[in-house]
Amino acid sequence: MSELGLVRPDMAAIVGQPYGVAVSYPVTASDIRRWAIAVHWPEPPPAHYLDPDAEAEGRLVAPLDISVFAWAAARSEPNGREIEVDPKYRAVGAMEHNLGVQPPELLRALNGGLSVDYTGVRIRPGDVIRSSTVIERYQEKESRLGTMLVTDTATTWTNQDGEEIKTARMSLIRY
Amino acid sequence: MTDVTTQAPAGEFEVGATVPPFTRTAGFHAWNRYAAVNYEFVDIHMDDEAGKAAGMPGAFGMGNLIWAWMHCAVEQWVGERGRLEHLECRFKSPALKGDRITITGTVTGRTTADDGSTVLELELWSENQTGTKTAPGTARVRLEA
Repeated sequence: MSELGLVRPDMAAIVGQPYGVAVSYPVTASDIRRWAIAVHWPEPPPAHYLDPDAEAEGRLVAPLDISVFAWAAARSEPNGREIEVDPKYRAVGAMEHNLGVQPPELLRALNGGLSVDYTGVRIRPGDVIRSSTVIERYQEKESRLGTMLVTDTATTWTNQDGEEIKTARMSLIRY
Repeated sequence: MTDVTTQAPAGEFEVGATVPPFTRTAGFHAWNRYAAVNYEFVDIHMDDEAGKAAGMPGAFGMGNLIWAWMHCAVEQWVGERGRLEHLECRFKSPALKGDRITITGTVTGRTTADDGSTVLELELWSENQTGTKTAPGTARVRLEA
């Protein structure tokens, strides 16, 4: 057991193991245009997003922050270890059940922040993106709200050529 | 004679320079468009009663949309001259209907990498019309050599 007792040995054992693997549908030019229009509204997005020749000429790239899994994934790749848990755990962002481990009894949550690293490889029409997530680490903290468990997860996207696009990190605080 | 109109503004990427403000009005028109591309149909962003039940004065905006606007601010500023390599932020308070949200920042560091490219460290944040920082963050941009 960890110092403050929130990280059980079976939780510590799943750090670094991939879960939530998903593969996108091929990204379309329309996906890219609509994302750019939505996030720039009411001003138009930079002109290259709306250039009707950009796709054919290979110049159309997606905004860095686009989500290509928002509406649906083409398929997921279960790791065979997923277990069913009460929806109350999912409601606070628990992820341990994806690796066969019962989530901790911490049913309040805060978003501790986002962080992303971009490699420079861009998403273009036709790309098929694979997403995979790991728990990077658990940390325990004392706060005025009590003992808190901070879970850092890292989600990495790669394209159909195996090139890494980005790694996005989230910090989930449960207490 | 130098044609100054083709040059970048003096000091645009120097330490202490300001990231040009990117300002938008929070509210259902922006949130609904973002929900539609990000499938983010959550009651707290759609319904005042749900927002009140969550302890806010009414419906409130998505952290993800602030995140998107931070990307827009950097893209609007740097364009093809460089690229965003790293961004991080914390969401301290959400945007409410009618808030004027501005993304801006300052250049806090500037170094030259081995390949000759210039790396800028930024403070980048979201603030509302009262000047309160609602999402403080940092970023790193690499300018082309």
